[in-house]
Amino acid sequence: MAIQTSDLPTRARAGTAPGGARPARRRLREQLTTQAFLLPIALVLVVLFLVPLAESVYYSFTDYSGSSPTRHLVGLRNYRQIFTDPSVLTGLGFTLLYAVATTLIVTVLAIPLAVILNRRFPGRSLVRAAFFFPAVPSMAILGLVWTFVLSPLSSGVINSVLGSLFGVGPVPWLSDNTLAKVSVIVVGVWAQTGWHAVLYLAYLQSVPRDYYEAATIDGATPRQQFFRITLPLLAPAMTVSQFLLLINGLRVYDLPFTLTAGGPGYDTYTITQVLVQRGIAEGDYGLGAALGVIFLIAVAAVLSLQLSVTRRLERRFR
Amino acid sequence: MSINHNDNSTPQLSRRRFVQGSLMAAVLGGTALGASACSTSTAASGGGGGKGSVSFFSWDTQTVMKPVLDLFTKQTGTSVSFSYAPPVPQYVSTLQTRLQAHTGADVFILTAEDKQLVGGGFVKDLTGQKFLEPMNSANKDFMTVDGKVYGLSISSWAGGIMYNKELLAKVGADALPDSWDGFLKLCGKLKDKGIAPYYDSAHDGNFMALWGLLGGYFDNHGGFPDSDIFAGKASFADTWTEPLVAYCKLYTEKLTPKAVLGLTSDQVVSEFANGRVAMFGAGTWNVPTVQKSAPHLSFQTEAIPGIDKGTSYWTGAASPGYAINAKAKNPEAALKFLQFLASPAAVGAYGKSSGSITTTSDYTPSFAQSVTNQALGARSGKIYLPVVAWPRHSNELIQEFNTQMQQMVQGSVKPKDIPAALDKKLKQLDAK
Repeated sequence: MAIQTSDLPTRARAGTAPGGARPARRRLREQLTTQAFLLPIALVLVVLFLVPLAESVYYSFTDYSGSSPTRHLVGLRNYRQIFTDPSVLTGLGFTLLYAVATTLIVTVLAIPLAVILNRRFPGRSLVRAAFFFPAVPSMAILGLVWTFVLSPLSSGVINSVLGSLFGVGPVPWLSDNTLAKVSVIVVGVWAQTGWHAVLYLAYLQSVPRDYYEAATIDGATPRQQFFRITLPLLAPAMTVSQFLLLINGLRVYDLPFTLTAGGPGYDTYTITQVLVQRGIAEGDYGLGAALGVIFLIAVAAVLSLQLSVTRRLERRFR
Repeated sequence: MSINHNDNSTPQLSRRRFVQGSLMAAVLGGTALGASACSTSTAASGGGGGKGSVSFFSWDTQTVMKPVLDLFTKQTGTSVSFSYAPPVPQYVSTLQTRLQAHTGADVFILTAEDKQLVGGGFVKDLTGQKFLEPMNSANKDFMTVDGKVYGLSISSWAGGIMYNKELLAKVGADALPDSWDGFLKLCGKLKDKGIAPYYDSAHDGNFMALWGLLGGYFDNHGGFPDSDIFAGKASFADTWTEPLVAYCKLYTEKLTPKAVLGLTSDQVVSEFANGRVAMFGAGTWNVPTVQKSAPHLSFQTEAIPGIDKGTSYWTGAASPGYAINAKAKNPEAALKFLQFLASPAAVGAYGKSSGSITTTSDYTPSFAQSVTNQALGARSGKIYLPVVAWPRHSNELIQEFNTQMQQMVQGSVKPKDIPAALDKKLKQLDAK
């Protein structure tokens, strides 16, 4: 997209009124008019984000149950409880594992997939749509469907294929603690790779063909072209993609909830599940709010780190 | 695409237009917010919540409740403003939010998971109301907190062991044995024959056979220990260990595979309907699904065999009750609505539309042959479900229990350690 500003009238670019300095009142009125446009979104931000955030911080220091009208300040009790609760610690561990694993695996798979989808071949549009399709239904629906695919009984879709083709006994996909974790991550990767490949594809299509033509003339191999041209030019896309993947990974709820219900035991429990269970189902809003505050800080820290790393990479490749 | 800024033909936004536009946006935005806040509320019978109407927040769908509400409106001329949220967590959280925001309905559902609302002063005391008299004693106990009755519960549910007659016949059985040991032996015979004997949905924490086993054991060993446990006079370890260890033999003796950890309740039903498992823990709600999935399957449901011979018991509980908001906008209409819901006409209409087992004494329901056993079990009051019998921390304790059980199925926790874990959890929760 090219934005041509060179032809703008000099008056508009300089921001001056005809005939010299603009009267202060008019300038003020224009500024107010401009800022008034921000008012609706500012209201939304205050009412739907800042007020609830402030309330959450307050509730995190109370024993608010959500049903009793009375509440008492309990200091840091809720925060102490969080760090001694095994379900929270397990949930935190799996959430981080899921977020990091899906981010890395999706990135590693989506970039080559985008490169392939960028080439000309018969049925390209159909293939692109097929890879994008898993991003359309909600994760909850995908989770429910995959419970049948990954059923640990011999009647499960994958197990019946393995049994009939290789004579392999039923694999306990969702009933073994390690396999359950792997299964959730695999379904998460399957569901997101196509969408992120399309994101990379959009960036790839803005890379000028001249670079590749010049590289070919200079004798660069396709591998060298990928690592020296494609990958560096995809750095801004990687920043966006990994940011989204990390956010989705850290706040994941629906997929593990529908696929494994957090089990077996607490093995695929996530922080958001703990938050809903402790805060809402068990009526311990104080603890839930404390968990929410800590989660917010943790997410901010992880995303800041991710942004700083990917931006450094972008600068390096620039 | 290029955007050229040299086109000055675009008309400028006048201040008046901007102000008008902003006001319109504000009004529309406010309306949208208001609409979203009230989006669950729909009038079932044209009621709006004003005079001559009562608001009702249900966890039965509008389809289920419509015949009952229409009958109420027809009989009394009072309309019902109906709103709905699905059970259980979503209903409880929505109800709590509405009550805290003083927008609660006049009548709502009171269940085990939201009984703490009584302590918060949100629920009207109904003790002594004449319309509560036909209520079954088990239902009345369920609706009682500290000796006062806070709700009207008109139905119960019962769950037992559903079995495939054809598969049981292959090992020479035509009914369930009369003891738990006999049941385990039956499972062993089925397994030896290459038939998967029994599934409970450990994935969903649905240990249907265990609750009935506990109920039969307690009933035959000095009564139900729940109140003593919560008063500190007994412990889970003292009272639960023997029946729990007996139940866990299903897993420790590998009669039920570890794979049940990965099966949802729906998948268990599907396995049964497809003849791939001989028995499973089933509630009344599973009967229509099995009939629809396998119309020619011959099956029956019986109570869960007890530890001691002849002490079979059902898993089950009184259904949640109808309660009146202590700050109801129309308390008289709310009371009139509950009086109506307790009447034989309303109980009959509800039983028919919901398929529930109604338990009021002044109405005799008729049941399909396929649910007769469960219906008799529910109406006899020989039903037990610990989570509704626990007076506090039921959500936290059942979550802990499910996790421990899943770990037991995996083999990482011993059955005898589970009751001790519950004692520890209860102690932690009470110490808060």
